[in-house]
Amino acid sequence: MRPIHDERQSCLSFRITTTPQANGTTYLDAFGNSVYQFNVLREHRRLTIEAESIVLTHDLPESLAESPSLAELDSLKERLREEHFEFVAPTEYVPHLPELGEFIEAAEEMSGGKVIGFVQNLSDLIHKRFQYVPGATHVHSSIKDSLSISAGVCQDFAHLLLGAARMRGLPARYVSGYLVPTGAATPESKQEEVIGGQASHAWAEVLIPGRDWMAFDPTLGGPVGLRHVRIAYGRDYGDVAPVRGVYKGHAGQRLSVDVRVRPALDDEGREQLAKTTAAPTAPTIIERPQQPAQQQQ
Amino acid sequence: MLSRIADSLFWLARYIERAEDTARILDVNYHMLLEQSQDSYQLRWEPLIVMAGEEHLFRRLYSEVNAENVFEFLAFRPDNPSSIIQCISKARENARTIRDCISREMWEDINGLYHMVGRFSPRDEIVAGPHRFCDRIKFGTHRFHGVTDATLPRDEGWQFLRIGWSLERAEMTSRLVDVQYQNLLDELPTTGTPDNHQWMAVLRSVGAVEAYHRQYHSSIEPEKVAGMLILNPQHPRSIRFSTTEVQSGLRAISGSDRGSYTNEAERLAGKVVERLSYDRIEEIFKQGLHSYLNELSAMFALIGSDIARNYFYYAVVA
Amino acid sequence: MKVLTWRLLEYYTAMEAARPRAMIPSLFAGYDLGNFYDEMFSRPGEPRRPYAKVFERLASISSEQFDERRKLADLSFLIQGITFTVYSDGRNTERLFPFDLIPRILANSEWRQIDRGLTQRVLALNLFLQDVYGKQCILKDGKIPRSLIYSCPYFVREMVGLEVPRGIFTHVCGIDLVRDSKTGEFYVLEDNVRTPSGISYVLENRLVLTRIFPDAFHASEVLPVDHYPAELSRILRSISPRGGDDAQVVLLSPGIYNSAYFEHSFLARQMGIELVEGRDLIVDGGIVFMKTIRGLQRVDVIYRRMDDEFLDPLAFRRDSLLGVPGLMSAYRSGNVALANAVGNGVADDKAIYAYVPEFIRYYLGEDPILRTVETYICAKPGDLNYVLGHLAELVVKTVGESGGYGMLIGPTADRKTLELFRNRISQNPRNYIAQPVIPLSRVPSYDVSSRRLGGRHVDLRPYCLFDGKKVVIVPGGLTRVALQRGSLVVNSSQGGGSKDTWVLRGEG
Repeated sequence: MRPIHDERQSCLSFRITTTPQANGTTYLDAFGNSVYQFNVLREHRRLTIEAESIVLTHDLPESLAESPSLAELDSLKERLREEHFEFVAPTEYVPHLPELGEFIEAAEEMSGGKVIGFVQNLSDLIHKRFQYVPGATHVHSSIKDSLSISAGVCQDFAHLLLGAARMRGLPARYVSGYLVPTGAATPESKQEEVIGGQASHAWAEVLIPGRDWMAFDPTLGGPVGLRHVRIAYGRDYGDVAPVRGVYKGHAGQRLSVDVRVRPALDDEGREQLAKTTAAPTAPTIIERPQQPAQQQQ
Repeated sequence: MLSRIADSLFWLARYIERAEDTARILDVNYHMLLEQSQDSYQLRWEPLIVMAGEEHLFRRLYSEVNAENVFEFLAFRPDNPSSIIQCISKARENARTIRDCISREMWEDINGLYHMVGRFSPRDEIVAGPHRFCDRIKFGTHRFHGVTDATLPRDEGWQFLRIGWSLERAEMTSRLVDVQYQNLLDELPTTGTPDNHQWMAVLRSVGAVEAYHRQYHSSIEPEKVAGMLILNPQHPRSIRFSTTEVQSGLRAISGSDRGSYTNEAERLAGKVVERLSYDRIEEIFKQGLHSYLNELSAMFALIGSDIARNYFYYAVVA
Repeated sequence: MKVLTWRLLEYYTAMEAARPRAMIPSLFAGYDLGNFYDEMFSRPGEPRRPYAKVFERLASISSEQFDERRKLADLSFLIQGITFTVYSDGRNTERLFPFDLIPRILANSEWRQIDRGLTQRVLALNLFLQDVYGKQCILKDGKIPRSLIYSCPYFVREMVGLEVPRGIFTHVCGIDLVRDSKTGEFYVLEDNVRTPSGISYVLENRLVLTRIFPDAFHASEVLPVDHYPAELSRILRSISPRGGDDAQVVLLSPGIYNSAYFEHSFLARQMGIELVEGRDLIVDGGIVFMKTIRGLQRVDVIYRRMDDEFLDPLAFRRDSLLGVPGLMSAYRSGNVALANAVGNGVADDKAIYAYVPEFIRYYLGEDPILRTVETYICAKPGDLNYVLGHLAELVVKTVGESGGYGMLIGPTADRKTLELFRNRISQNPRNYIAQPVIPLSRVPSYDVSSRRLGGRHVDLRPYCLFDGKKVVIVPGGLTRVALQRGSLVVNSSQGGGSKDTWVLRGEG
């Protein structure tokens, strides 16, 4: 949950608090993301995790270098695969599927033979061809699902771009973060309200050979700019789920969960899964038990 | 000792005891009831179900209360969590997971009992009547006690076994006496005289007929039977004896001295032993046998859950 | 029952001692060396030096007498409950692991060579693991393709950057060796550095054999093996984060339904440590505790006999009920030590096995002492083509499986099986390797139906313990034997058995 801190983004402050209180520890995972781990043993009915951060995003000067050509990419394919294997290989969420082939071909045709153009086209194509429909897919859907219904949410859009870029030989990584809403009513803001205001957002970064990682947002279709706040990188959604946990409770207990993600300037919310650890409650008996006691399973 | 292991030992013992006590009660009452007149047929079978504590379940599964249904329900139904086969099965499961902690003979005994029970065909047994089946159960559980007695060191593990079967026995005996007495009280207006057969059956089901006669030389009197089963300090199936065993076992584990207690279970067990040591049967009847036994039952339930809370599933305070 | 068994043995031993010496060696009647290296005989009727005394013994008893001893041995295994569980047809059957009375014997000099080779290998594997989860120098120096590491399903990302106590990853290794009949030399067949099992059989086999062949045993001067539990216990205690002498060590087992449960229980008892399951442990504030009737007790070291993926539902398989949520966080915080370390699977991945000689050169600056078998890595297109083209001549294995499952023995497989493997390999080449069929050496073993000895193929799994500085290897190890005539499959669940392995104090 801790925003990334690098040349393009400064995390000025960050704090996680949980209720009930817990003494957690932080570590960096294999992708360099900060992970907070904690546990709560005593009985509780509700677990609240609050993450607050103040982030400053800044522009980098435009790169003067030309985009490498697709032909150059082809010659570097082996090396790229070797050096960035993790971001080129297929994963469970992002398998390499033949159905992506048509997008790749179409994007190539219009690219003028340049890599950056190619990826930008991919992003645009996905943006146009797929519909943003919350609930059409679920959190564990792979691109197979979104391809079959031509719809999905930002997670799926990002996965699709990753799949196509990787199949073409480009290392690409999943970015999870927030989109700060504009506040002003614009033709786009309706969709943005749905996405950024209420939820984590997801997009992709592609490694341009000879240059650096470059961000693309197929869900919004536009450029990735100062309102995109990056939290974590991974190969796909599975590597960067914001909250993951295990809890113990009576079977038959209802678990109701509410996750609110609030950009510092705004006030919305969306549901995600959060679980907690708790000790089982002991039964209290006051009357003569009708049924004989049984062993707790 | 791991909590899980203590938990398994405790419940292994409880389930074996429950199977045995159910078999005893079923066996004796079944035959006695068949000898009775047809009028009170239905009335007489109900107490067995009430004693087992599964009245609601029985009513959902069967429309009629009769000999075959009661036998099947108490002995063979897999959906009755306290049926004899379920108890043996659960006892065996517990034994299996703690095989390293019990002697090899104990495991082989329970495993053998489980497989033997599995070979019975419920249809055949219901036709034959419960005597054969119940006898085999008793034989199996007696063997288990014998083997345990002969092979298990008297360590913490053995204490948990002892607490388990003693607590279960105290609970079952309390139900037995309570239900029988209430049942007989209902009978009194119609027949006018107390039914000695029924009380004989109670004594027989806990193997206390001879002991009774040795102590009381007289004919069967309900108050005296109740007194024997509740207050007798020496008979292994009296509630007082069983509860004293529970208390001793708990003390052995916690290391408490006499006159003190370390946890709620010990405190409650001490309270019960105290009452049972000094109450007289006349006082009990004055208070009302049902209400007295009701209180005891409630205590036993609390003792059981406190043992679990303390040793098996203690709530962790951060 | 036990007492009766030993009494009978004493009786038989006495009876045999009284028997006249020059008897027809009926056990060896018709014994054929075939085209294989026979460990006992260099030529028919001529025993090799290490086997001289045992041969003498065997030559003087009849097959009836031998059979009697065999039955007694089986009985004593049964009584002790030394079984393993086979899961097939949905039932769990407990089987005796067949034990063959004829020991497999190694001369001291031969063993010393193996010991040196194994030591070198264990050190290199440990350094490799430190490196691959640390600075990754070997990757930067291009000695092994990065993609091979990162595509390894057993490479655990959670271990990247995690410092393990005393830098030890490979506390216990079981390295499988075979002797090639063509050259008579030992080759490393595969490494097992995750949760190698079988040591309990080594210890129990020795116990039974010393009682059944006491005179041959003592006359041969065999090096002892029973120090294993003490050594392992010492190593486990030494990695305790809290230091001191009172380390709380536990053995984490998946429970009674695991096929190796007997060994878990056996080792826990031999080392005097608690045998626990995942549900007995709980992690609080980054510390692991054990739930006992006296309250929560802190755990320092976990000897875990459970695959990585089941260890922690928070970090690995979400559906694992066998693990302990938060265990990795405690491990990461340095509050608990695990043996073996998590993530060792990248070192015994069979596709990476081919690079171990390179590890030895790279990390130790030495030439490998033990040879490895030629391996075709299907992840490499060139090798893949060769394998698909010569499937019927090769042994094909999956990179992570042990226990002989998922293995293809080309020469004996039918067309359907070959097709099946062809498909599987084509769909997931990274998951397969192939090796030529090695004509394994043979040792005389008892054939129950013919009541005579016949040559049966064997392998050898020595058990190596590493304490961070020294590698301690139990002399010999588990000799597994393919009990069926002509069979090359030695695994317990598929018709294999075991023998006691003797390393002599001298040359025989």
